[in-house]
Amino acid sequence: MTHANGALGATPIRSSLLEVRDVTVAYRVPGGGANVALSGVSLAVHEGEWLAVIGHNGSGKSTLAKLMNGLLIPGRGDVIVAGMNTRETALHRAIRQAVGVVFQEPEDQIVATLVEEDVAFGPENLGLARDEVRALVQSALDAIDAQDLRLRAPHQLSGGQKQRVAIAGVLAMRPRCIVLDESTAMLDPEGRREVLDVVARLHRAGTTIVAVTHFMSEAALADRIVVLSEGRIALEGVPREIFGDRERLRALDLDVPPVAQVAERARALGVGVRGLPLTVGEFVTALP
Amino acid sequence: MTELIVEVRDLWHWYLRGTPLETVAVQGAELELRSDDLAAIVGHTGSGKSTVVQHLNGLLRPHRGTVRVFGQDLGDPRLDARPLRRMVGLVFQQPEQQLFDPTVGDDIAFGPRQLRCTPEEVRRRVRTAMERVGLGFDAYKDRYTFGLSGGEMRRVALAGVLALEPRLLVLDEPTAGLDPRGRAQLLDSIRALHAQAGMAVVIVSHDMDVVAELARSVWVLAGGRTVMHGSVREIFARVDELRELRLGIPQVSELAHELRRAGHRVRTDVLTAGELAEALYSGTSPSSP
Repeated sequence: MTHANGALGATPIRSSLLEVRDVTVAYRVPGGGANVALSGVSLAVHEGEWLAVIGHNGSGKSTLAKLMNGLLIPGRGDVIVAGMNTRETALHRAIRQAVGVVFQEPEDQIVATLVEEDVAFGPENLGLARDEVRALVQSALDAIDAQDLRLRAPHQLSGGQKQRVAIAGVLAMRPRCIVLDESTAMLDPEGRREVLDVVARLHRAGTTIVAVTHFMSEAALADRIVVLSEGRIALEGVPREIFGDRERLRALDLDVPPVAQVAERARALGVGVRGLPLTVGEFVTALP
Repeated sequence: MTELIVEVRDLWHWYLRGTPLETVAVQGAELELRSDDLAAIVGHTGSGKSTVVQHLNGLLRPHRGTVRVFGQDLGDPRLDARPLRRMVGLVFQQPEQQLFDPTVGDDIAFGPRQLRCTPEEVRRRVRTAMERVGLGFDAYKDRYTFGLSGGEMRRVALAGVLALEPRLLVLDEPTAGLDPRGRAQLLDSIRALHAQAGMAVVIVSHDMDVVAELARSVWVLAGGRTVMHGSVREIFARVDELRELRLGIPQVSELAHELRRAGHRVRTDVLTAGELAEALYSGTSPSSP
Protein backbone atom coordinates (compact mmCIF):
# COMPACT_ATOMS: atom_id res chain seq x y z
CA MET A 1 0.00 0.00 0.00
CA THR A 2 2.97 2.30 0.20
CA HIS A 3 2.60 3.26 -3.43
CA ALA A 4 -0.83 4.76 -2.69
CA ASN A 5 0.08 7.23 0.02
CA GLY A 6 -0.23 10.21 -2.28
CA ALA A 7 3.40 11.28 -1.94
CA LEU A 8 4.15 10.62 -5.60
CA GLY A 9 3.49 14.23 -6.57
CA ALA A 10 6.70 15.31 -4.85
CA THR A 11 8.30 14.64 -8.20
CA PRO A 12 5.86 16.06 -10.74
CA ILE A 13 4.88 13.20 -13.03
CA ARG A 14 2.53 14.25 -15.78
CA SER A 15 1.04 10.83 -16.36
CA SER A 16 -2.73 10.41 -16.28
CA LEU A 17 -4.16 8.97 -13.13
CA LEU A 18 -7.65 8.94 -14.47
CA GLU A 19 -8.95 8.88 -18.01
CA VAL A 20 -12.45 9.52 -19.26
CA ARG A 21 -12.67 8.20 -22.83
CA ASP A 22 -15.47 9.35 -25.10
CA VAL A 23 -18.11 8.92 -22.40
CA THR A 24 -21.85 9.36 -22.86
CA VAL A 25 -24.33 9.10 -19.98
CA ALA A 26 -28.09 9.40 -20.29
CA TYR A 27 -30.68 9.21 -17.52
CA ARG A 28 -34.15 7.88 -18.12
CA VAL A 29 -36.80 10.52 -17.48
CA PRO A 30 -40.09 9.56 -15.78
CA GLY A 31 -42.76 9.48 -18.43
CA GLY A 32 -40.40 8.36 -21.19
CA GLY A 33 -37.40 9.68 -23.02
CA ALA A 34 -33.86 10.23 -21.80
CA ASN A 35 -31.87 13.13 -20.52
CA VAL A 36 -28.33 13.20 -21.87
CA ALA A 37 -26.05 14.27 -19.00
CA LEU A 38 -22.73 13.77 -20.76
CA SER A 39 -22.14 13.46 -24.44
CA GLY A 40 -18.85 12.20 -25.86
CA VAL A 41 -16.66 13.62 -23.11
CA SER A 42 -12.94 12.82 -23.02
CA LEU A 43 -10.72 14.05 -20.25
CA ALA A 44 -7.48 13.07 -18.54
CA VAL A 45 -6.71 13.91 -14.92
CA HIS A 46 -2.95 14.07 -14.35
CA GLU A 47 -1.21 12.66 -11.31
CA GLY A 48 -0.78 15.41 -8.70
CA GLU A 49 -2.82 18.14 -10.38
CA TRP A 50 -5.70 20.19 -8.97
CA LEU A 51 -8.44 20.21 -11.56
CA ALA A 52 -11.53 22.40 -11.13
CA VAL A 53 -14.75 21.54 -12.95
CA ILE A 54 -17.22 24.40 -13.38
CA GLY A 55 -20.51 24.75 -15.23
CA HIS A 56 -24.20 25.15 -14.51
CA ASN A 57 -26.59 22.78 -12.83
CA GLY A 58 -27.42 20.23 -15.47
CA SER A 59 -24.12 20.73 -17.29
CA GLY A 60 -22.99 17.23 -16.27
CA LYS A 61 -20.51 18.15 -13.51
CA SER A 62 -21.86 15.83 -10.83
CA THR A 63 -22.30 13.02 -13.35
CA LEU A 64 -18.63 13.41 -14.23
CA ALA A 65 -17.69 13.27 -10.54
CA LYS A 66 -19.69 10.07 -10.02
CA LEU A 67 -17.96 8.41 -12.96
CA MET A 68 -14.56 8.93 -11.39
CA ASN A 69 -14.79 6.14 -8.83
CA GLY A 70 -17.31 3.89 -10.50
CA LEU A 71 -20.40 5.08 -8.62
CA LEU A 72 -21.77 5.46 -12.11
CA ILE A 73 -20.83 3.34 -15.12
CA PRO A 74 -21.02 5.15 -18.45
CA GLY A 75 -23.56 4.05 -21.04
CA ARG A 76 -20.90 4.46 -23.72
CA GLY A 77 -17.15 4.94 -23.42
CA ASP A 78 -14.77 4.00 -20.62
CA VAL A 79 -13.39 5.45 -17.42
CA ILE A 80 -9.92 4.18 -16.51
CA VAL A 81 -8.65 4.76 -12.96
CA ALA A 82 -4.97 3.96 -12.46
CA GLY A 83 -5.18 1.42 -15.25
CA MET A 84 -8.46 -0.11 -14.01
CA ASN A 85 -11.68 0.07 -16.04
CA THR A 86 -14.67 1.05 -13.86
CA ARG A 87 -16.80 -1.41 -15.85
CA GLU A 88 -15.12 -4.28 -14.06
CA THR A 89 -17.12 -4.75 -10.89
CA ALA A 90 -14.39 -6.91 -9.37
CA LEU A 91 -12.08 -3.86 -9.39
CA HIS A 92 -14.53 -1.49 -7.65
CA ARG A 93 -12.92 -1.94 -4.28
CA ALA A 94 -9.49 -1.03 -5.58
CA ILE A 95 -10.91 1.84 -7.65
CA ARG A 96 -12.72 3.36 -4.66
CA GLN A 97 -9.61 3.07 -2.63
CA ALA A 98 -7.70 4.98 -5.28
CA VAL A 99 -10.34 7.68 -5.77
CA GLY A 100 -12.42 9.01 -2.84
CA VAL A 101 -15.43 11.27 -3.28
CA VAL A 102 -16.66 13.96 -0.86
CA PHE A 103 -20.20 15.21 -1.51
CA GLN A 104 -22.10 18.42 -0.86
CA GLU A 105 -24.03 17.46 2.27
CA PRO A 106 -21.76 16.55 5.17
CA GLU A 107 -24.63 14.77 6.97
CA ASP A 108 -25.09 12.32 4.11
CA GLN A 109 -21.60 10.88 4.51
CA ILE A 110 -21.26 10.37 8.23
CA VAL A 111 -22.00 6.90 9.56
CA ALA A 112 -20.65 6.66 13.12
CA THR A 113 -21.30 8.37 16.43
CA LEU A 114 -17.69 9.32 17.11
CA VAL A 115 -15.35 11.09 14.73
CA GLU A 116 -12.58 8.50 15.07
CA GLU A 117 -15.01 5.65 14.41
CA ASP A 118 -16.34 7.45 11.38
CA VAL A 119 -12.86 7.95 9.97
CA ALA A 120 -12.02 4.30 10.76
CA PHE A 121 -15.07 2.97 8.88
CA GLY A 122 -13.33 2.64 5.51
CA PRO A 123 -10.08 0.98 6.67
CA GLU A 124 -12.01 -1.37 8.98
CA ASN A 125 -14.05 -2.53 6.02
CA LEU A 126 -10.82 -3.35 4.24
CA GLY A 127 -10.23 -5.85 7.03
CA LEU A 128 -6.99 -4.24 8.22
CA ALA A 129 -5.45 -4.99 11.60
CA ARG A 130 -6.41 -2.71 14.51
CA ASP A 131 -2.98 -1.11 14.76
CA GLU A 132 -2.98 -0.39 11.08
CA VAL A 133 -6.46 1.15 11.26
CA ARG A 134 -5.39 3.27 14.21
CA ALA A 135 -2.35 4.55 12.35
CA LEU A 136 -4.43 5.41 9.28
CA VAL A 137 -7.00 7.29 11.38
CA GLN A 138 -4.22 9.10 13.18
CA SER A 139 -2.56 10.31 10.00
CA ALA A 140 -5.89 11.20 8.36
CA LEU A 141 -6.84 13.36 11.36
CA ASP A 142 -3.37 14.92 11.29
CA ALA A 143 -3.85 15.77 7.63
CA ILE A 144 -7.03 17.71 8.36
CA ASP A 145 -5.53 19.14 11.55
CA ALA A 146 -8.30 17.70 13.72
CA GLN A 147 -6.83 15.56 16.50
CA ASP A 148 -8.99 17.62 18.87
CA LEU A 149 -12.15 16.34 17.15
CA ARG A 150 -11.23 12.67 17.57
CA LEU A 151 -13.69 11.87 20.34
CA ARG A 152 -16.42 14.33 19.36
CA ALA A 153 -19.85 13.36 18.05
CA PRO A 154 -20.09 14.29 14.36
CA HIS A 155 -23.56 15.83 14.72
CA GLN A 156 -22.16 18.40 17.15
CA LEU A 157 -19.60 19.69 14.67
CA SER A 158 -19.88 22.76 12.48
CA GLY A 159 -20.42 22.30 8.75
CA GLY A 160 -16.76 22.96 7.99
CA GLN A 161 -15.63 20.48 10.64
CA LYS A 162 -18.04 17.83 9.32
CA GLN A 163 -16.70 18.24 5.80
CA ARG A 164 -13.13 17.95 7.10
CA VAL A 165 -14.13 14.74 8.88
CA ALA A 166 -15.65 13.45 5.63
CA ILE A 167 -12.35 14.26 3.90
CA ALA A 168 -10.47 12.43 6.67
CA GLY A 169 -12.70 9.39 6.10
CA VAL A 170 -11.62 9.41 2.47
CA LEU A 171 -7.97 10.06 3.36
CA ALA A 172 -7.90 7.06 5.70
CA MET A 173 -8.21 4.94 2.56
CA ARG A 174 -4.94 6.48 1.32
CA PRO A 175 -6.43 7.54 -2.01
CA ARG A 176 -4.36 8.90 -4.86
CA CYS A 177 -7.16 11.25 -5.88
CA ILE A 178 -9.92 13.07 -4.00
CA VAL A 179 -13.01 14.24 -5.86
CA LEU A 180 -14.90 17.08 -4.15
CA ASP A 181 -18.41 17.39 -5.55
CA GLU A 182 -19.49 20.90 -4.47
CA SER A 183 -18.15 20.12 -1.02
CA THR A 184 -18.10 23.78 0.03
CA ALA A 185 -21.50 24.79 -1.39
CA MET A 186 -23.43 24.59 1.88
CA LEU A 187 -20.73 25.94 4.21
CA ASP A 188 -20.32 29.34 5.81
CA PRO A 189 -17.25 31.42 4.87
CA GLU A 190 -15.20 30.06 7.74
CA GLY A 191 -16.14 26.47 6.87
CA ARG A 192 -15.21 27.07 3.24
CA ARG A 193 -11.83 28.44 4.24
CA GLU A 194 -11.19 25.44 6.53
CA VAL A 195 -11.97 23.00 3.73
CA LEU A 196 -9.99 24.91 1.10
CA ASP A 197 -6.96 25.10 3.41
CA VAL A 198 -7.07 21.32 3.82
CA VAL A 199 -7.45 20.78 0.08
CA ALA A 200 -4.51 23.07 -0.68
CA ARG A 201 -2.37 21.22 1.88
CA LEU A 202 -3.26 17.80 0.42
CA HIS A 203 -2.49 19.09 -3.04
CA ARG A 204 0.94 20.32 -1.95
CA ALA A 205 1.59 16.88 -0.46
CA GLY A 206 0.92 15.35 -3.88
CA THR A 207 -2.71 14.19 -3.76
CA THR A 208 -4.58 14.66 -7.01
CA ILE A 209 -7.66 16.89 -6.55
CA VAL A 210 -10.75 17.13 -8.72
CA ALA A 211 -13.02 19.90 -7.39
CA VAL A 212 -16.49 20.51 -8.80
CA THR A 213 -17.54 24.01 -7.74
CA HIS A 214 -19.83 26.97 -8.38
CA PHE A 215 -17.36 29.43 -6.85
CA MET A 216 -15.15 31.05 -9.49
CA SER A 217 -12.79 32.23 -6.75
CA GLU A 218 -12.22 28.57 -5.80
CA ALA A 219 -11.70 27.50 -9.40
CA ALA A 220 -9.04 30.23 -9.65
CA LEU A 221 -6.93 28.28 -7.12
CA ALA A 222 -6.73 25.18 -9.34
CA ASP A 223 -3.95 24.22 -11.76
CA ARG A 224 -6.42 23.66 -14.57
CA ILE A 225 -10.12 24.27 -15.22
CA VAL A 226 -12.62 22.34 -17.30
CA VAL A 227 -15.88 24.13 -18.14
CA LEU A 228 -18.84 21.87 -18.89
CA SER A 229 -21.91 23.02 -20.75
CA GLU A 230 -24.82 20.83 -21.77
CA GLY A 231 -22.87 17.64 -21.27
CA ARG A 232 -19.82 18.66 -23.27
CA ILE A 233 -16.47 20.25 -22.48
CA ALA A 234 -16.87 23.86 -23.57
CA LEU A 235 -13.52 25.24 -22.39
CA GLU A 236 -10.37 23.80 -20.90
CA GLY A 237 -7.18 25.49 -19.75
CA VAL A 238 -5.24 27.07 -16.88
CA PRO A 239 -7.28 29.60 -14.81
CA ARG A 240 -5.55 32.52 -16.49
CA GLU A 241 -6.67 31.34 -19.94
CA ILE A 242 -10.21 30.52 -18.83
CA PHE A 243 -10.74 33.78 -16.96
CA GLY A 244 -8.94 35.76 -19.65
CA ASP A 245 -11.81 35.18 -22.05
CA ARG A 246 -14.68 36.84 -20.26
CA GLU A 247 -16.90 36.99 -23.34
CA ARG A 248 -16.88 33.23 -23.75
CA LEU A 249 -17.57 32.70 -20.06
CA ARG A 250 -20.44 35.17 -20.23
CA ALA A 251 -21.88 33.29 -23.20
CA LEU A 252 -21.90 30.22 -20.93
CA ASP A 253 -23.64 32.29 -18.20
CA LEU A 254 -20.53 32.16 -16.04
CA ASP A 255 -18.26 34.98 -15.00
CA VAL A 256 -14.72 35.75 -13.87
CA PRO A 257 -13.97 36.00 -10.11
CA PRO A 258 -14.89 39.39 -8.56
CA VAL A 259 -11.21 40.37 -8.28
CA ALA A 260 -10.75 39.96 -12.04
CA GLN A 261 -13.90 42.04 -12.63
CA VAL A 262 -12.37 44.91 -10.64
CA ALA A 263 -9.15 44.61 -12.67
CA GLU A 264 -11.03 44.74 -15.96
CA ARG A 265 -13.10 47.76 -14.98
CA ALA A 266 -10.14 49.63 -13.49
CA ARG A 267 -8.12 49.04 -16.64
CA ALA A 268 -11.00 50.37 -18.73
CA LEU A 269 -10.75 53.60 -16.70
CA GLY A 270 -7.03 53.81 -17.41
CA VAL A 271 -5.65 52.45 -14.13
CA GLY A 272 -2.46 50.45 -14.84
CA VAL A 273 -3.26 46.94 -13.57
CA ARG A 274 -0.63 44.45 -14.75
CA GLY A 275 -1.65 41.04 -16.03
CA LEU A 276 -4.82 39.27 -14.97
CA PRO A 277 -5.02 39.11 -11.18
CA LEU A 278 -7.42 36.39 -9.95
CA THR A 279 -6.93 36.63 -6.19
CA VAL A 280 -6.71 39.52 -3.71
CA GLY A 281 -3.00 38.89 -3.21
CA GLU A 282 -2.28 38.94 -6.95
CA PHE A 283 -4.21 42.18 -7.36
CA VAL A 284 -2.26 43.98 -4.65
CA THR A 285 1.01 43.20 -6.45
CA ALA A 286 -0.45 43.97 -9.89
CA LEU A 287 -0.83 47.68 -9.18
CA PRO A 288 1.97 50.12 -9.99
CA MET B 1 -44.97 56.94 5.02
CA THR B 2 -43.38 53.66 5.90
CA GLU B 3 -44.54 51.85 8.98
CA LEU B 4 -42.60 49.90 11.54
CA ILE B 5 -43.64 46.29 10.98
CA VAL B 6 -41.19 44.38 13.15
CA GLU B 7 -39.90 45.45 16.53
CA VAL B 8 -37.65 43.08 18.49
CA ARG B 9 -36.39 44.45 21.79
CA ASP B 10 -34.05 42.66 24.19
CA LEU B 11 -35.18 39.23 22.97
CA TRP B 12 -34.05 36.17 24.93
CA HIS B 13 -34.64 32.57 23.99
CA TRP B 14 -33.39 29.28 25.47
CA TYR B 15 -33.47 25.83 23.90
CA LEU B 16 -34.44 22.86 26.12
CA ARG B 17 -35.36 25.38 28.77
CA GLY B 18 -35.78 23.94 32.24
CA THR B 19 -33.71 20.85 31.44
CA PRO B 20 -30.06 20.12 32.31
CA LEU B 21 -29.27 20.66 28.61
CA GLU B 22 -30.66 24.20 28.62
CA THR B 23 -28.67 26.50 26.31
CA VAL B 24 -29.25 30.14 25.58
CA ALA B 25 -29.65 30.83 21.85
CA VAL B 26 -30.54 34.50 21.92
CA GLN B 27 -29.66 36.94 24.68
CA GLY B 28 -30.75 40.48 24.08
CA ALA B 29 -31.24 40.63 20.30
CA GLU B 30 -32.65 43.78 18.68
CA LEU B 31 -34.20 44.11 15.24
CA GLU B 32 -36.38 46.68 13.52
CA LEU B 33 -37.90 46.33 10.07
CA ARG B 34 -39.94 48.89 8.18
CA SER B 35 -42.52 48.15 5.51
CA ASP B 36 -40.13 49.15 2.69
CA ASP B 37 -37.04 47.40 4.04
CA LEU B 38 -34.68 45.19 2.08
CA ALA B 39 -32.54 43.99 4.94
CA ALA B 40 -30.07 41.25 5.80
CA ILE B 41 -29.40 39.50 9.08
CA VAL B 42 -25.88 38.14 9.19
CA GLY B 43 -23.93 36.21 11.77
CA HIS B 44 -21.66 33.25 12.29
CA THR B 45 -23.17 29.75 12.66
CA GLY B 46 -24.71 29.69 16.15
CA SER B 47 -25.11 33.47 16.37
CA GLY B 48 -28.86 33.11 16.93
CA LYS B 49 -30.03 34.51 13.60
CA SER B 50 -32.30 31.58 12.71
CA THR B 51 -33.79 31.63 16.22
CA VAL B 52 -34.60 35.33 15.89
CA VAL B 53 -36.37 34.98 12.54
CA GLN B 54 -38.45 32.05 13.78
CA HIS B 55 -40.05 34.53 16.18
CA LEU B 56 -41.27 36.71 13.32
CA ASN B 57 -44.22 34.49 12.43
CA GLY B 58 -44.76 32.97 15.86
CA LEU B 59 -43.01 29.64 15.28
CA LEU B 60 -41.16 30.54 18.47
CA ARG B 61 -42.39 32.80 21.26
CA PRO B 62 -40.09 35.11 23.22
CA HIS B 63 -38.94 33.87 26.62
CA ARG B 64 -38.01 37.41 27.60
CA GLY B 65 -38.22 40.77 25.85
CA THR B 66 -40.61 42.06 23.21
CA VAL B 67 -41.44 40.87 19.70
CA ARG B 68 -44.05 42.93 17.88
CA VAL B 69 -44.93 42.01 14.30
CA PHE B 70 -47.57 43.99 12.41
CA GLY B 71 -48.73 45.38 15.75
CA GLN B 72 -49.22 41.93 17.33
CA ASP B 73 -47.45 41.15 20.57
CA LEU B 74 -45.90 37.66 20.32
CA GLY B 75 -45.26 37.68 24.05
CA ASP B 76 -49.00 37.44 24.71
CA PRO B 77 -49.74 33.73 25.26
CA ARG B 78 -53.37 34.26 24.21
CA LEU B 79 -52.35 35.55 20.78
CA ASP B 80 -53.35 33.26 17.91
CA ALA B 81 -50.31 33.42 15.61
CA ARG B 82 -52.01 31.77 12.63
CA PRO B 83 -53.03 35.00 10.85
CA LEU B 84 -49.42 36.16 11.26
CA ARG B 85 -48.13 33.09 9.40
CA ARG B 86 -49.93 34.37 6.32
CA MET B 87 -48.53 37.87 6.66
CA VAL B 88 -44.97 36.71 7.27
CA GLY B 89 -43.70 34.25 4.67
CA LEU B 90 -40.77 32.21 5.94
CA VAL B 91 -38.64 30.50 3.28
CA PHE B 92 -36.31 28.02 4.91
CA GLN B 93 -32.91 26.83 3.70
CA GLN B 94 -33.13 24.58 0.66
CA PRO B 95 -36.92 24.92 0.51
CA GLU B 96 -37.00 22.71 -2.60
CA GLN B 97 -36.63 19.75 -0.23
CA GLN B 98 -40.15 20.49 1.00
CA LEU B 99 -41.79 20.30 -2.41
CA PHE B 100 -44.12 17.31 -2.55
CA ASP B 101 -46.56 17.57 -5.45
CA PRO B 102 -45.38 16.13 -8.78
CA THR B 103 -47.04 19.01 -10.65
CA VAL B 104 -45.62 22.52 -10.25
CA GLY B 105 -49.00 24.31 -10.26
CA ASP B 106 -50.52 21.98 -7.66
CA ASP B 107 -47.55 22.36 -5.35
CA ILE B 108 -47.89 26.14 -5.39
CA ALA B 109 -51.69 25.91 -5.03
CA PHE B 110 -51.43 23.92 -1.79
CA GLY B 111 -51.33 27.00 0.48
CA PRO B 112 -54.22 28.95 -1.08
CA ARG B 113 -56.32 25.75 -1.13
CA GLN B 114 -55.64 25.27 2.59
CA LEU B 115 -56.89 28.84 3.05
CA ARG B 116 -60.11 27.71 1.31
CA CYS B 117 -59.74 30.22 -1.52
CA THR B 118 -62.17 29.81 -4.44
CA PRO B 119 -60.77 27.95 -7.49
CA GLU B 120 -60.57 31.27 -9.39
CA GLU B 121 -58.71 32.88 -6.52
CA VAL B 122 -56.34 29.90 -6.25
CA ARG B 123 -55.60 30.19 -9.96
CA ARG B 124 -55.02 33.94 -9.73
CA ARG B 125 -52.67 33.56 -6.77
CA VAL B 126 -50.69 30.74 -8.38
CA ARG B 127 -50.35 32.69 -11.62
CA THR B 128 -49.21 35.86 -9.84
CA ALA B 129 -46.78 34.00 -7.60
CA MET B 130 -45.24 32.13 -10.53
CA GLU B 131 -44.83 35.26 -12.59
CA ARG B 132 -43.21 37.05 -9.66
CA VAL B 133 -40.46 34.43 -9.49
CA GLY B 134 -40.00 34.36 -13.25
CA LEU B 135 -41.73 31.04 -13.94
CA GLY B 136 -44.25 31.54 -16.76
CA PHE B 137 -47.67 30.20 -15.68
CA ASP B 138 -48.48 28.44 -18.95
CA ALA B 139 -44.98 27.15 -19.50
CA TYR B 140 -44.50 25.71 -16.00
CA LYS B 141 -47.81 24.96 -14.29
CA ASP B 142 -48.08 21.42 -15.66
CA ARG B 143 -44.36 20.61 -15.52
CA TYR B 144 -43.03 17.70 -13.48
CA THR B 145 -41.74 19.30 -10.26
CA PHE B 146 -38.83 16.95 -9.65
CA GLY B 147 -37.51 17.19 -13.21
CA LEU B 148 -36.70 20.89 -12.80
CA SER B 149 -33.23 22.30 -12.16
CA GLY B 150 -32.19 23.20 -8.61
CA GLY B 151 -32.71 26.91 -9.27
CA GLU B 152 -36.18 26.34 -10.77
CA MET B 153 -37.23 24.11 -7.87
CA ARG B 154 -36.16 26.76 -5.41
CA ARG B 155 -38.28 29.33 -7.27
CA VAL B 156 -41.27 26.95 -7.15
CA ALA B 157 -40.82 26.73 -3.37
CA LEU B 158 -40.64 30.51 -3.13
CA ALA B 159 -43.79 30.83 -5.27
CA GLY B 160 -45.56 28.47 -2.83
CA VAL B 161 -44.89 30.95 -0.02
CA LEU B 162 -45.78 33.96 -2.20
CA ALA B 163 -49.17 32.40 -3.02
CA LEU B 164 -50.09 33.10 0.61
CA GLU B 165 -49.53 36.78 -0.29
CA PRO B 166 -47.36 37.72 2.68
CA ARG B 167 -46.41 41.33 3.43
CA LEU B 168 -43.03 40.39 4.85
CA LEU B 169 -40.83 37.76 3.26
CA VAL B 170 -38.03 36.15 5.27
CA LEU B 171 -35.51 34.04 3.32
CA ASP B 172 -32.93 31.86 5.07
CA GLU B 173 -29.79 31.40 2.92
CA PRO B 174 -31.72 31.98 -0.31
CA THR B 175 -28.88 31.27 -2.74
CA ALA B 176 -26.95 28.47 -0.95
CA GLY B 177 -26.02 25.70 -3.36
CA LEU B 178 -27.34 27.44 -6.48
CA ASP B 179 -25.22 27.77 -9.60
CA PRO B 180 -24.26 31.29 -10.80
CA ARG B 181 -27.22 31.51 -13.19
CA GLY B 182 -29.75 30.25 -10.62
CA ARG B 183 -28.31 32.66 -8.09
CA ALA B 184 -28.57 35.68 -10.40
CA GLN B 185 -32.16 34.82 -11.36
CA LEU B 186 -33.23 34.37 -7.75
CA LEU B 187 -31.66 37.67 -6.69
CA ASP B 188 -33.49 39.40 -9.56
CA SER B 189 -36.77 37.85 -8.38
CA ILE B 190 -36.19 39.03 -4.81
CA ARG B 191 -35.36 42.56 -5.98
CA ALA B 192 -38.55 42.63 -8.06
CA LEU B 193 -40.67 41.39 -5.15
CA HIS B 194 -39.37 44.25 -3.10
CA ALA B 195 -39.57 46.95 -5.76
CA GLN B 196 -42.73 45.97 -7.64
CA ALA B 197 -44.80 43.89 -5.26
CA GLY B 198 -43.99 46.23 -2.38
CA MET B 199 -42.99 43.46 -0.02
CA ALA B 200 -40.63 43.97 2.89
CA VAL B 201 -37.80 41.46 2.51
CA VAL B 202 -35.21 40.21 4.95
CA ILE B 203 -32.59 37.64 4.06
CA VAL B 204 -30.55 35.61 6.53
CA SER B 205 -27.18 34.76 5.02
CA HIS B 206 -23.51 34.16 5.59
CA ASP B 207 -22.76 34.81 1.92
CA MET B 208 -21.58 38.39 2.16
CA ASP B 209 -21.34 38.79 -1.60
CA VAL B 210 -25.11 38.19 -1.76
CA VAL B 211 -25.71 40.60 1.12
CA ALA B 212 -23.60 43.30 -0.55
CA GLU B 213 -25.43 42.82 -3.85
CA LEU B 214 -28.95 42.75 -2.46
CA ALA B 215 -29.47 44.34 0.95
CA ARG B 216 -29.71 47.97 1.90
CA SER B 217 -29.48 47.58 5.66
CA VAL B 218 -27.67 44.96 7.68
CA TRP B 219 -28.12 43.61 11.21
CA VAL B 220 -25.15 41.68 12.59
CA LEU B 221 -25.70 39.08 15.32
CA ALA B 222 -23.02 37.45 17.44
CA GLY B 223 -23.42 35.23 20.47
CA GLY B 224 -27.18 35.81 20.47
CA ARG B 225 -26.89 39.60 20.57
CA THR B 226 -27.23 42.33 17.95
CA VAL B 227 -23.73 43.78 17.73
CA MET B 228 -23.91 46.08 14.69
CA HIS B 229 -26.52 47.56 12.44
CA GLY B 230 -26.46 50.13 9.71
CA SER B 231 -26.50 50.61 5.95
CA VAL B 232 -24.80 47.90 3.95
CA ARG B 233 -22.04 50.38 3.04
CA GLU B 234 -21.36 51.33 6.65
CA ILE B 235 -21.24 47.72 7.78
CA PHE B 236 -18.88 46.44 5.09
CA ALA B 237 -16.46 49.31 5.63
CA ARG B 238 -15.85 47.85 9.12
CA VAL B 239 -13.76 44.95 7.81
CA ASP B 240 -11.65 44.44 10.92
CA GLU B 241 -14.66 44.12 13.22
CA LEU B 242 -16.35 41.68 10.83
CA ARG B 243 -13.20 39.59 10.73
CA GLU B 244 -13.07 39.55 14.52
CA LEU B 245 -16.63 38.20 14.50
CA ARG B 246 -15.39 35.45 12.15
CA LEU B 247 -17.72 36.68 9.42
CA GLY B 248 -16.97 36.74 5.75
CA ILE B 249 -16.44 39.95 3.85
CA PRO B 250 -17.54 40.65 0.27
CA GLN B 251 -14.55 40.01 -1.98
CA VAL B 252 -14.64 43.55 -3.29
CA SER B 253 -14.54 45.00 0.25
CA GLU B 254 -11.69 42.68 1.14
CA LEU B 255 -9.73 43.74 -1.92
CA ALA B 256 -10.29 47.46 -1.15
CA HIS B 257 -9.14 46.90 2.40
CA GLU B 258 -5.98 45.02 1.38
CA LEU B 259 -5.12 47.69 -1.21
CA ARG B 260 -5.45 50.35 1.44
CA ARG B 261 -3.23 48.37 3.78
CA ALA B 262 -0.64 48.10 0.99
CA GLY B 263 -0.55 51.90 0.86
CA HIS B 264 -2.93 52.67 -2.01
CA ARG B 265 -5.23 55.63 -1.58
CA VAL B 266 -8.58 54.00 -2.04
CA ARG B 267 -11.98 54.22 -0.34
CA THR B 268 -12.95 51.06 1.53
CA ASP B 269 -16.73 51.57 1.63
CA VAL B 270 -17.20 50.11 -1.86
CA LEU B 271 -19.65 47.33 -2.67
CA THR B 272 -19.28 46.51 -6.36
CA ALA B 273 -16.43 45.88 -8.80
CA GLY B 274 -17.38 49.09 -10.63
CA GLU B 275 -17.22 51.19 -7.46
CA LEU B 276 -13.80 49.85 -6.52
CA ALA B 277 -12.50 50.47 -10.05
CA GLU B 278 -13.74 54.08 -9.78
CA ALA B 279 -12.13 54.44 -6.37
CA LEU B 280 -8.82 53.17 -7.76
CA TYR B 281 -9.08 55.60 -10.63
CA SER B 282 -9.67 58.62 -8.40
CA GLY B 283 -6.97 57.39 -6.00
CA THR B 284 -4.32 57.26 -8.71
CA SER B 285 -5.24 60.50 -10.49
CA PRO B 286 -2.89 63.31 -9.46
CA SER B 287 -5.71 65.77 -8.65
CA SER B 288 -7.14 63.61 -5.87
CA PRO B 289 -6.66 64.77 -2.29
